Amino acid sequence: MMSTALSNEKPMEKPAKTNPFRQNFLEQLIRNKKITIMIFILHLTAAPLTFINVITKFFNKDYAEPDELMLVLAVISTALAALAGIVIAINTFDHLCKRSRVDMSLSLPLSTNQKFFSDFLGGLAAYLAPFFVAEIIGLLITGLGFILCEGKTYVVYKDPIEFEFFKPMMPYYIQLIIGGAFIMLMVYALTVLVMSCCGSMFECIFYTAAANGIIPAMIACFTYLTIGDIYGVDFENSFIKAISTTSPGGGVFGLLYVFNEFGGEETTSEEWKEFFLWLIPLMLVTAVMLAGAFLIYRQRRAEQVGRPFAFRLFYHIIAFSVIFCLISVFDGMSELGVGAFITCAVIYMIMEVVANRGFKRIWLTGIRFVGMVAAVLIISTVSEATDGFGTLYRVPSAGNVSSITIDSYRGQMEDYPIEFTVKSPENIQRIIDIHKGELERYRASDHVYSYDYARDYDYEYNAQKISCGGIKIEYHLKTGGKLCRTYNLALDEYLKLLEVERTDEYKTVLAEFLSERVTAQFDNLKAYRDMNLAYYNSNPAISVSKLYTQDKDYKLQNIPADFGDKLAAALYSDIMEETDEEFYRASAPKFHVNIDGMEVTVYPHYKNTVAYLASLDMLPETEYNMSSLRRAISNEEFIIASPSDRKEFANYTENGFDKYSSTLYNSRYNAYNSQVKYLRSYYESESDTIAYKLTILLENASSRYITEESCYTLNVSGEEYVIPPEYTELAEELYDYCYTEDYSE
Amino acid sequence: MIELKGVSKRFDSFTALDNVDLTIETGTAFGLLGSNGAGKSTILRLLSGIYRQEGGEVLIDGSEVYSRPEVKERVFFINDETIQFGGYTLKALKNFYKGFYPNFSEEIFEKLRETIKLPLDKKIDTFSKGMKRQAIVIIALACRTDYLLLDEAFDGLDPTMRIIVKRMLVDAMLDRKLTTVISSHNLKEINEVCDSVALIHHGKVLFSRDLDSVKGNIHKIQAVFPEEYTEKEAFPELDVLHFEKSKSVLYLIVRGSEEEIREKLAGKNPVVLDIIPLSLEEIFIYEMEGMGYDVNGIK
Repeated sequence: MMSTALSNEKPMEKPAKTNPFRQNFLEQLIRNKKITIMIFILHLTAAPLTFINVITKFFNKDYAEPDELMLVLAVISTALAALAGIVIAINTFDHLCKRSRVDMSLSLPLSTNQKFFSDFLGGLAAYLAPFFVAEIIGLLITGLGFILCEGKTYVVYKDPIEFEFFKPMMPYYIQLIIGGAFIMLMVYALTVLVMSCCGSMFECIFYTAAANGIIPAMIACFTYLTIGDIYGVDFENSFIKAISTTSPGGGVFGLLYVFNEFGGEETTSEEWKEFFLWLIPLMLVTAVMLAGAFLIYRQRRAEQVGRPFAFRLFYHIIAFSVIFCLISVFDGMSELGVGAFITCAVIYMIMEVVANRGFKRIWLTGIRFVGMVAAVLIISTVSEATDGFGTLYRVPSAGNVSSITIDSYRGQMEDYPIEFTVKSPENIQRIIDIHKGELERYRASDHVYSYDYARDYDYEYNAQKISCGGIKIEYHLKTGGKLCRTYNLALDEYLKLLEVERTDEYKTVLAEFLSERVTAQFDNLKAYRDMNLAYYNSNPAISVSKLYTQDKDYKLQNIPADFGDKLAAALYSDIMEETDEEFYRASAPKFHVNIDGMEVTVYPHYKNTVAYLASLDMLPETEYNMSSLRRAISNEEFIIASPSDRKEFANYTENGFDKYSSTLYNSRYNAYNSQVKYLRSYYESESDTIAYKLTILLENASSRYITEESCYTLNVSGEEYVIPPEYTELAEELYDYCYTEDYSE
Repeated sequence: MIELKGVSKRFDSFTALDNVDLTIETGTAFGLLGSNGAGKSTILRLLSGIYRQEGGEVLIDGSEVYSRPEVKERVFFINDETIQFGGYTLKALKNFYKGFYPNFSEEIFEKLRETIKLPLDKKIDTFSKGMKRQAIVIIALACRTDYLLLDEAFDGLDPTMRIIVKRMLVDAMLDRKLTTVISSHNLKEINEVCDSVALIHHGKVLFSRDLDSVKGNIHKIQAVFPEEYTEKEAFPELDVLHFEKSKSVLYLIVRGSEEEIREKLAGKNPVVLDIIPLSLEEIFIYEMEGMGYDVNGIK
């Protein structure tokens, strides 16, 4: 027999120190190196290539935005690189689904914990390292862009344009890197979780894809089924918040949603706060996925490799989710019948046959299906009976609320629906009372607020829904949570909200908002026009107008450089000094200051602002322009409604009400089936008389007027004004001139 | 020392090992014999920490194996497949295992590799089946673990390489008291390498003894008796595994020592009595037959 090297030899080497954890980590890096290189190339074709393109275009004096094609390429390559995380996870944890890998992997001198985490981290490093390297390169290119381009002026078609790309883009890019990394981590963690539950390659791949889709689908369907029809509950908001943090696809949506909410504005601490409010839950969900994967990994056994599932509950959860979503969709389409159940049964049967690799214990499949359908129906029924498990009537107590944001509110400055936040206990309590009052009204109305499109033409039904406009209430709870509700407030609640407007807290928000806007708009106008003087010096930059009077137009050169600051300061003072009487009887013939397209409302009682405009001789004439008025009458720009009409109109519009009038956003012209009373003159000889009478009404009509008496209202080009009771007689006279246009046919 | 104490292992409803007790002394070459599905590979996977037993204890030098790196680094398991190494070069595979096993010897690896002339930088995928097996065996030996577990280790080796690999194993056993556990269907190889064997059947250990005592405890008898015996029940004093009659000659496979058998049969006054030792393969076949196993199904 041949002698081998071992005979009569003593090995000379001493035992080396080994670190199996590190060795296994490195092994995963090596095993995934080809995919890593591919991911790196894909990431390079995203942000870095896009930025190089921007710099190159700048030097070519081209319009310095990235090519659309580049952006499409960047999106596709980033998506592919992110999806490669699934391939890496499957490759790294292949001993969970490939029998041939089991012995080699599990016989290594590693504990279960060491094996899991070294594999996990090794694969993760192979997945994320190319991303970070590519983004560091992207940041270096960004730095180069700052040095070479940012702030410099270049001319496109004779227009000097200040290059500004990298500075505004930078915060978003950093958020994209951080957010992107965590979304990729979630892709990877979710795949590992699915792999821990599955035992064969087919199941690993199929259920990874399924889990990515079924998580957002299940959340959407569950939210829709339970609170989709609940009055005031912001279904979309709940849905988006939940979806954006619970799955990788949802995470991408969430990140874009955060960008979209703040898009185009300077990055503020608020924006970063919003970003982290999205990111932290996403991180927590990822941590839960990882913890789940680890716990299942610890429990599973080597011999389960090759079977469809190592953790069968996972399959049942997915199957239940599929059935839940299907039933919800059928329910949403009002198609929940025998056909729907048969469809669900067939799909479930296919899933069972694939999962069981044949028709095993088919009777159990039947029982499970019936159980699932029953569970979905029970959830739906209980949710309906309990108004979304109590969601409808949930109002936080004042002690638990740190602040409340009112969104989409058109108050004092109805030109700009603003979002404002109140923190004072008094205002928090006021809004909670408004909320409770609205819910009481809803309770008393026997839940008619759920809109029933089938009853669109039912006047009695619609009359009960009269409201004064919608607001969105967002509670910021001391626990860090949020609660959002959207209501169409009834008059009583709306009047309570006006009390909030009278507080210094609201006035300050409004005054700051408006003055900042005016200053910024004017500064922007100056900078823009100074640079493009040749194009704009012939057009008015600023105009001040009043209904049917001679407008005043001003070129930029004719007004002082501190116009924006002074006007803003005057508006600030007027808002802060406004008395209750002035507020509740705001006169109609207000001025509008137009600053390069932005309109600022100036009420006659805004003494400081009026005085400042007067000092610059910018106030329009006080006399009405009779020829303009006559033309407007013949153009049917006026509609007069009598109190009796109002009741009738109330049937057709959500915005009509008897005691109080604010601006109506929906013109009567759009009201369904309404009879519209247009003011018109039948004879030329009457036109001067009508116009004269109209000037009196215009001068005394009020934008906001609260009274118990029935009043006529005047609609001027879509804006609604109340005619005070002392002018009712005059209004009646003019009303007689109106003709009715019947839209009911 | 390897000890299995009351070990049970189930795969769903199938019991792979049923209350198995087995002791393997340090420094021995131990053969695991058994039919397909008897539980040989399961024992090896329990010993290498791949499987976790449902009951009992799997101990190596007194320590549990499962999820214990300090125990597992003293054990190297070679299974009956080589597909998992396909993507590696021999060099990469060596570097992989070197990082896990602290006693890994580059010197031994190089010398063994030189002996069988395996290329370092070619993908193992491109190796023949025998070369793949050699590659993993030299890596296993270079890891210098105290315990080497081989599942059908000699499959695919040509006769020359079979001898070289066996020699490598024997050298390692002599050199550093390596304990080798070999599971194989090839009884000839077990016979050549092992000094102790255990016969496993339906998840139970039928016996576990040193090879000599196994061989000395079962015999083939050719005998002619004055009386005519037609069935094995005619020999209640003997543990007869197999009974065959051809004309007047009886062929019996009987458990027990030669002296014992002669003594017990003396009372029946045999006309002719030849006691012939059995090969290990025959012992295996007849033991299995004694357990009611279909002989035709045995490889």
